[in-house]
Amino acid sequence: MNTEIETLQGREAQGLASPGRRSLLVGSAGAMAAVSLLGFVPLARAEEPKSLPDYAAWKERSALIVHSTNTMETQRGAIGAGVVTPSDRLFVRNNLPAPDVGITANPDAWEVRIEGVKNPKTLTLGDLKQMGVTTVASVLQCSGNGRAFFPHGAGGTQWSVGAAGCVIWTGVPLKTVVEALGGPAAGMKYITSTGGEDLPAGVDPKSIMVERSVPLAALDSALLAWELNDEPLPHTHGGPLRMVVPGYYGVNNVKYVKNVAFTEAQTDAKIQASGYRIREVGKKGSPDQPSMWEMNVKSWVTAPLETGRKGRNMIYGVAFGGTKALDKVEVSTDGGKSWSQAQFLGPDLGPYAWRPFVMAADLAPGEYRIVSRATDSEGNAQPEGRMENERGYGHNGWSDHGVTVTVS
Amino acid sequence: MKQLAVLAFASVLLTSSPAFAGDLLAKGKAVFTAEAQPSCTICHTLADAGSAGAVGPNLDELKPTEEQVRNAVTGGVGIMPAFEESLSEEQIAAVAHYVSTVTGGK
Repeated sequence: MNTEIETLQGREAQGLASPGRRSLLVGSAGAMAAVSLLGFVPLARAEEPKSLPDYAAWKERSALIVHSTNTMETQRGAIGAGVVTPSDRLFVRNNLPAPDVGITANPDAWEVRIEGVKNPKTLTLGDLKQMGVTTVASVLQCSGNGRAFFPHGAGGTQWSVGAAGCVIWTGVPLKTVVEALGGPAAGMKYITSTGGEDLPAGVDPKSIMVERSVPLAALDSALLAWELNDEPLPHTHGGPLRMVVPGYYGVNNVKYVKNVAFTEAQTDAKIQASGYRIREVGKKGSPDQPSMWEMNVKSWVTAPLETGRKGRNMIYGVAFGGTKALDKVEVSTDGGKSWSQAQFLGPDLGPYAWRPFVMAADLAPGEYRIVSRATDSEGNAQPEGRMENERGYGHNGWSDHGVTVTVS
Repeated sequence: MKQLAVLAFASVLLTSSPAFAGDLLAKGKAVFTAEAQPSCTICHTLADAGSAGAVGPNLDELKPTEEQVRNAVTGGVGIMPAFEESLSEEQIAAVAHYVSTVTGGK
């Protein structure tokens, strides 16, 4: 562990001006500093940092906050200016325990059934690889990212900003597969994907299975992905095959997908019918409420997080528009009273990816509330406040996502 | 209403005395291992109950507070179902006391 931290500090010293940038702290202190101003501890109360579970043992422990076996968040300071989130620090959120790792031993033999098309068929991953290929960059973000900032104590993992990353998927466009099978059957309105997890006996499958429906329009961008960041999709992130719906919240990117059906109605699986629905605090989820589909415009500062040196400071962050390209990102060092436009940093990897941004600010000693506000190409800007909802979903309010930095 | 409040206050006093607290733990364990449907043991790991379910969080790791357990069991959270229809308030209070006590979350 010590060797890894020294190496990271060495890289830091080489090219980056701001002190404290990318300080990777063992355990949870980094995230705690970022949200401690809210006056509560958003993490599990056990004091020692947990080790990584076996199925994620290859990941960079010091870059992650381990909430539980199935939920690990990227440290705020571990996201940088490189656009693509390295796989070893990408967050993990499983709704169910992963199937046996053996499913990735012979990836090309994995089977997925396509239904609700003129010619339904079961295809292997090997078959899919012959049919077509595309590579897409997209933000993978949990619906509950930002939940920690809701004051009503929404049930669920208390993510702050780290249940998000920007990654590169390679796979076959779903459209290509569907066209080869004669196209969707008449009257179909949804794409319903089912995950390949093993379900324990004694529980109604509909109550826990991961089966999600997205509107048919997603066929334009959806892909069946077998690679993540230029490597075979790890079992940890849904390998050997995952449904990827760029620009949609994470839950719709069904892992170890075994069935893709074009359907007239949304699935009645609980995770779709009542789960992941936006509604007012105190209400139960139901199918007439909006589902967590397309992501909203969002941004947050990634450095500095706690301290700065007086003089010129580089303020870094990431911003994205969900399914839409970004227009601009603005940054304020006075809590939102005055704003300046930040510059995008690095290549534009398309509307579904995020864009790092940077703004230089001359800061005298003192305390600063640094916030960022992104606007998408259709003019939608992040709101100042949060939209209160029962499960703390979809938080993109710029005020809560700021950081308080002491400059000396 | 005032009578109910007095009764509720009295029952809180009674249940917090050592003799009743032990009963409440045993009641809570019974809810956890036998009475809740589906059984808590299918989805949760809890050493005291001898369960090793892996669908939901490991409760020994999570260390939920009594209130967190009560809220989760009553209204459900994530893929966890709501038990307010199938378990009585007494059963929910008992299992909340039990889980938070044996995990150290209390």
